[in-house]
Amino acid sequence: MTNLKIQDDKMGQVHGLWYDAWMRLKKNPTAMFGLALIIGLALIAIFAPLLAPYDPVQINLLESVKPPSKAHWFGTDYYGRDILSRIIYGARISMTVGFVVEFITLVIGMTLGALAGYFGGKVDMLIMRFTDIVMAFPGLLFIIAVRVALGPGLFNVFLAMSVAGWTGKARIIRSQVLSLREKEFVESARALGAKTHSVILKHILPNCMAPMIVSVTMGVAGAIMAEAGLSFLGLGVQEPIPSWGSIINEGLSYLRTAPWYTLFPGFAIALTVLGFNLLGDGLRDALDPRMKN
Amino acid sequence: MKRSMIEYIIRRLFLIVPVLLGVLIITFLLMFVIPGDPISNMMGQRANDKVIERIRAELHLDDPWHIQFVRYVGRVIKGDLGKSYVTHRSVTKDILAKLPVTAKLAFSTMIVASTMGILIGIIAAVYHNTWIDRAAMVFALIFISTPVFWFGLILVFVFGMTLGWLPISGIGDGSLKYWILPAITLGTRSAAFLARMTRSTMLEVIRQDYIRTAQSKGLAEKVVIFKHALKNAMIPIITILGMQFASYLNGSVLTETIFAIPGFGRYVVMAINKRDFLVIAGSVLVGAIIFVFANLFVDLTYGILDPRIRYD
Repeated sequence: MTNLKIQDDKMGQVHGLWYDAWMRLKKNPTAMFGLALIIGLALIAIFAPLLAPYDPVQINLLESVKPPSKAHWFGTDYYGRDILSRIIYGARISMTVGFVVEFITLVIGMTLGALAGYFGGKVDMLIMRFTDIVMAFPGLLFIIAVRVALGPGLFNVFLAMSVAGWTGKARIIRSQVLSLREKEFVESARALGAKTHSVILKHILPNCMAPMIVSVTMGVAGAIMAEAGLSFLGLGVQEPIPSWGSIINEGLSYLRTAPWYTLFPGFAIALTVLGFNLLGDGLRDALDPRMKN
Repeated sequence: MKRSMIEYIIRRLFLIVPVLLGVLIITFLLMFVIPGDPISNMMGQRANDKVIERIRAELHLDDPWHIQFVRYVGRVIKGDLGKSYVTHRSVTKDILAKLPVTAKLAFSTMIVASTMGILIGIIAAVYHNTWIDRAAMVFALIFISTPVFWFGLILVFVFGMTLGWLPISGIGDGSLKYWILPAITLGTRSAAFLARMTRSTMLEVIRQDYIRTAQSKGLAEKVVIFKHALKNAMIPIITILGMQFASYLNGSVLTETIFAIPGFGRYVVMAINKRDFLVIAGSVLVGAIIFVFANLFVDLTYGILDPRIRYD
């Protein structure tokens, strides 16, 4: 990583790329707002049992579809369950899906992209043609088909979304690796007798991190949005586990009489996705200052 | 048309073949291999042994899978995507009947997205670093972060249920008023992407020497922006526009559900609810074919817009 050290003229100190990027990010108020949103929502997800005023799955038919009140700030759903509590617990599903799916797609995308870029030739051709094929499918339709084929369950939601979602990352990594493998520091590592896997893991991949971090941040936003869409179509996690998309789906029949039913969970989705997008935009500007307009 | 371009088109068409074959393999795997037993998946709890046996025989599910695959490819080439197990209708015929409706939705969406997106993008670029630019970009990011289906429901509630200005369900006689809310629903997020893209490309173009030359010649700002700058910024904008257009196929799944539009997307959703797997697999296949050709079309459009691009 020594090649990433940058000389700071004013102070005469040497800072790493990450330190400089962090300093630039800290000066970007919208990105910091995004980060604050994400941290806030992560805390809500973690401490849901402490924060939620009610049990999110407890049915109370006497309280069915009640408007927002002092007792129920966001109203109640068809089963009389507290919508605020369901939204607080829903943060767990959204955050989990966002991060787990991004982790899986990152592993798949990084492995395939690095192999294709490093070895080139037939390996590259095979992997990239396979990527083209998966990319040929319209995202949401593909996720729907895989999820229906696999059957219900949270694990299958992860799987369906990951199968469709790794292609972009594989392409980014591949193009990064293609240019990095010709660099002097990689050549010298090879000349010193480093094994292929250690060249890839120790010298090449760490230098691909900047675009990956941006891609993962934006990807979490995309995954949360896609999960909401799936749950809205009834293909997400199963009842009675609360998910933002499925609350909106349930509220659909009450749109005229109880708009809050759909309003609040939608705000939760939009705010979360906005947080990740703001941070992603900021990270892109901070990690690659040339891209900034 | 130049010879090199014709050669390029032919080469691109050949390159599509392996991709389409791969797409067929994946849809085949989805239909017959992964679900374990597609019949019990399709029939759910209702299946009794006799029915299952009959359907297995009909689908030749007991043959080795490579024979099944060859048969599947043969059928697809002939345009036969099988029969729905719920309605017993031809999947191909049904999809062909639904696609024009979705195409109409996509075109109305495209009009909303491109006019709003490109215009806002230009304004933001022209007023770069002013509050107008910042506000436009904040709104763009807010709309990018808003789920399409939720935004649609808000429009339904405000303009349909509360104000009563526009119809909120179905396409009636197909007149314009039925398409306004669905097109805005699907088009606003797309417009936000376009606005960001237009802005950044315009900013890049505006810094070029020929724009400075045009300005110093004393040309009107409008002429410089629309004739000199926009024309050169159009290529990346067309790319995004093309990709967005294809993505409306995804968006139609959610939008058509909200507005009860009898198109491709709603057809898929109805199939999901009834576990009509042949319909879902057929729709995904058709969606992929549309995607592949939409990409080809975008690539070819470059050549017309930018004669500098060479096809060799």
